[in-house]
Order: sequence, then C-alpha cells, then structure tokens
Amino acid sequence: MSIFAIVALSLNVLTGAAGIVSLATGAFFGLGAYTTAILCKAGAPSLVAQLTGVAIAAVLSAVIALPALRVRGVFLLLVTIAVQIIFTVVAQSWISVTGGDAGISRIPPYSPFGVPLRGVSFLLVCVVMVIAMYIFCRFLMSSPFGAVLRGLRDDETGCAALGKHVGAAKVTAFAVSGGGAAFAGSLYAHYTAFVDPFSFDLSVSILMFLIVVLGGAGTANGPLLGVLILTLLPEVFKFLPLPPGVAAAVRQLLYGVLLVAVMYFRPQGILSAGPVGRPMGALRT
Amino acid sequence: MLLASILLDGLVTGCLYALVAVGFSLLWWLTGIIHIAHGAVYLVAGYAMFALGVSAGLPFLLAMAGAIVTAVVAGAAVQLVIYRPFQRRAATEDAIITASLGILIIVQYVVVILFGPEGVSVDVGLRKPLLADGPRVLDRFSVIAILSAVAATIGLHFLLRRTNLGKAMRAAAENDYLAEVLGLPIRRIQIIAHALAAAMVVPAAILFLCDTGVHPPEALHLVLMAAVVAILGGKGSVVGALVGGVAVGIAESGMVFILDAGWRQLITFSLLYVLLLVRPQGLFGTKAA
Repeated sequence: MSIFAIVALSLNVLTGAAGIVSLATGAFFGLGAYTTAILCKAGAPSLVAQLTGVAIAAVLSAVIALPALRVRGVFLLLVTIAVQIIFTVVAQSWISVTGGDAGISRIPPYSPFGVPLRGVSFLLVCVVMVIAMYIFCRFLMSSPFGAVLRGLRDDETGCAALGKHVGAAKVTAFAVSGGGAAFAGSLYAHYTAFVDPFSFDLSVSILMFLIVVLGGAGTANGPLLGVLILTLLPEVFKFLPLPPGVAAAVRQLLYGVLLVAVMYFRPQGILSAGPVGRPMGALRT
Repeated sequence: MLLASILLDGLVTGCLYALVAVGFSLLWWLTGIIHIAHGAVYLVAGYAMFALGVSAGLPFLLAMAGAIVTAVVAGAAVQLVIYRPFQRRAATEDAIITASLGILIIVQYVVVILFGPEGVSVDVGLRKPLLADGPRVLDRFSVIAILSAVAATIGLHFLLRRTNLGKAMRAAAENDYLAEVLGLPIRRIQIIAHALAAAMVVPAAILFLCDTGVHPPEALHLVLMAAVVAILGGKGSVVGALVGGVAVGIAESGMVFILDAGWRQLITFSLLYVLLLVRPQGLFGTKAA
C-alpha cells in the first residue's frame, strides 16, 4: 500500500498538477521493478539497481512526452496507452532478458546499506519513503515549477504567452512522474521477490489513475486518500463467496464502473483542487 | 511467393483493421469523441453473432442481421446513455475518453463473467487455400475480408458525398453548433453516425470470429489499432482509413516475418509515436490536430 502511495504521489505531479492524463504508469512502475530484478540477480547493489531503474524510466518518460510538444491531451493519452501495451509486449516477448510470461523470481531483499531489510524494517523504510515523497511533492508544488504546471493545466496558451517553457515543463513533469513510479517499482520487486508482465499491465495504470483522480487530482493529500480507498476496497470482495476467476473479473469491472462514475459525478475527486467556479478544472488540458 | 504471402496477409489484416477504424474515424470526425468503447461494440457484435449463429443455430444471414441490430443498439446506447449526459455537463475531452475506456472495461469483464475469458471462435472452413499452387494465404476468408472492407469504404464514401444525410454529417463535423442553429437535427445525426459505425464493426467481428476468434482482452488492442489507423489516415477520411489500415496491416505482417509474432504490436505503436511526432494530421488530413 505504501508502495502504491509513492506511485500515486508521482503520478499526481503529472495528472494532478499539470492536468495530463497518463495511462503508462504501470509501464514505468514495471520498468523500475524489472531493472531491479535483472540487476540485483546479476549481483548489483540494490541502491544502484534502483537508481538505474529510476534514471531509465525518467529518460524514457521524457522521450515519450516529446509528442506532447506538438499534440494535445487526447493524443498524448493514446500515446501513453500505446507505451503501456508496448511495455507488456516487450516484457512478454523478450524472453532472454525478462523471462517472458514466467517472469523473474527469487529477487534478493532490499538492502540499501548492506543489510537486507525484511518484514517490519522494510515496511518502515517504505513508510519513510512515502513521507519523503510527500514532502518532495509538496515542495515541488509550491515551487515556481509547480506554479507553471498548474498554469499549464488551467490555461496552456496563457501560460505560454507569459513566456513559460510549456514544452519543457511537460517533459519534466513526465520525467519526474516516470522516475517516481520506477522508484516504487523497485521497492515492489524487492517486496514480492517476483516480477511478471501481468503485474504491470494496463489495469495497473488504470488503477493508479483512479487512485489519483478519485482522491482528488492536484491536491497533496488526495492520492493518499485514493490509495486508502482503492486498496481496501478489493479486500471487501475477499469476503464474498466468488470463484477466483470471477472475483478478479468483478474487481476489474468495478474499476470500469468507478472510471465512468468518477468522471461523471466528480471529475475533480473527493478532495477538490480545481479553480473555483470551474468544476472540471482539475482535469483540464 | 513468400513476399506475395506476406503482402496478402498484411492486406487482409489491414482490411479488418480498416473495417473497425472506419467507424472510429467517422465518430471522431463527426462528434469529436475518441470512441474507445468502439471495442465494446465489437465484442457485443462478436458474441451476439456467436450466440445467434452457433449456439442458437440460426442461418447465417439471420444471425448476421441479429448481430447488426445488437451492435447498432449497443452503439446508440453508448451515445445516449454515456456521451450525451457527459456532453450536457460540458465534460472535457479527457473525461469523456476516460469514461469511454471505462465502458470498454465494463463490457469486457461483463463478457468475461458471463461467457468466460477464453473468447469464442468458429471454424467454417473459410481458411482453405483457393488455388492449389497459389499463395497459401489466398483463401475465401481473404477475399471476403478485402471485399467487405472495400464495399464498406465505398458505401460510406458515397453516403457522405452524395446523400443529404452525408451532407448534414459533413456540416455537423465542420461546425456542430452552427449546424444546429441552421436547424439540422444534430442529435439524430450523431445517433445515426454511432449506428453506422456499430454496423460496420459487425463484418469485422464476424471475420475475426471465423479466423482467430473474438477474445475479450483483444478489444482494447483493436481499438488502439483503429486509433492508429484513423490518425494515420487522417481524421474523418474514409479512404484514408482503408489506406491506413492496409499500411498498418502490411507493416505488421512484415514485422511478424522478421521477428516473433509477439512483437507485432510494437511496430504499430512505434508508428503511432513517430506519426504524432512528425505528422499529427495524418496522411490525408488537412487540419492540424
């Protein structure tokens, strides 16, 4: 849950502050996890592996944002969906590196200071990192860069007219969000000790997007609330007497219903951050 | 011979994509909606055809008519129940596209819950080579696929250029507000467009059903493919959708020949990326995106 919180916080930089909808979060999350898995299995220290993953994801995320310099929101959304699918395809097909559908198992535990962390100590590290990420996001939002991002969301043309580098800001936002997701992905790989293509597919991206939007895109606390709701909700379903295959489908179905319902009833999320008098503000591009 | 096979296989795949993309492109152009739920209509059409034609054992034409009616109802329902309320609330493009994705997911998993995740397919022997010494992929399936794509394209092109309805559609696409002010029944036109798009998905769904089958998880891939084709062909360009579909199909089948089958989507989405970077208005588009 705290791992998802890191992802949600980093996606919030992109979707919440800059108003760019991305459905490639799962891909960057997975990129971090796979980099960690591959490098750690090869014997690299986990901190090195983690930072490598973050760097790769940040660069790749920035590259993906390049069409953003030319096209508007909806096309960008299609690009991010495409990236997500490419990631899944590569993870499934590049068998010599990723292990294909079988994935990579027996990833060593997280040991940033030479001591392997398990159980409670790992949880503590994760919580500390969520707090660090939260403070970092708060800091970012109150910085001039955060102001440019919010300007981008509310009035892109106006923002450009004020002499702000709109394109550069978008690319940076993408890089930060991709890097953050990869950071969390690395923790995830250590935590589960196993990665496969299905842990990072489009439904993960949709879940992350839902977390951010449901909680309140653009607010500092919204993503945390979203994580709380959407990770506890599936637990409720475990009490229902459903066969395992159907239960998974029902959960996906629920995400679909939530997507439509949130978009219709409260696109600004539970903790709203939209400009006053413009309820759709939180998602404007 | 091998080259001919690759080209023909690409052509057939492309024609199937074009059948899906033409409706997608039409709606995008006319209503400005990125109709991801098009994949949901495709699933509904495919499963309706399977239920009527195979499970209920109706004759082919009757089952197809039933599938078309079901698809049209589904398409119109999406417009009436989802898009219109959203538009009345002045929802943003992103909100609508996200809701559209939500619809696709809902339909996909309702289908999975009701019919299981395996998908359905039927073998009616369309995949037998026509000529003993010709390319193996030249079979009745390919001929039907190519003919239906060409027929649908020509039909829609004719409809848009030569009929009053087509004229009204073009007016609505140009400026829907002005068209409404001038007394065009814009809502009815939008519903007709949705019905048309849904009807054109049916042949694609039937052909997929007779080939590799209709599988719930593939619906999203197919819509993305349609989006790539529609962007490549240019917004609202009917001929562009056909040309774009064939181009994507041939590119994919070449890629499958060089690499493994799993990589086929890679080329398509790389194409989308390059396209949006270099020429977002598409091959046949005029207005900047």
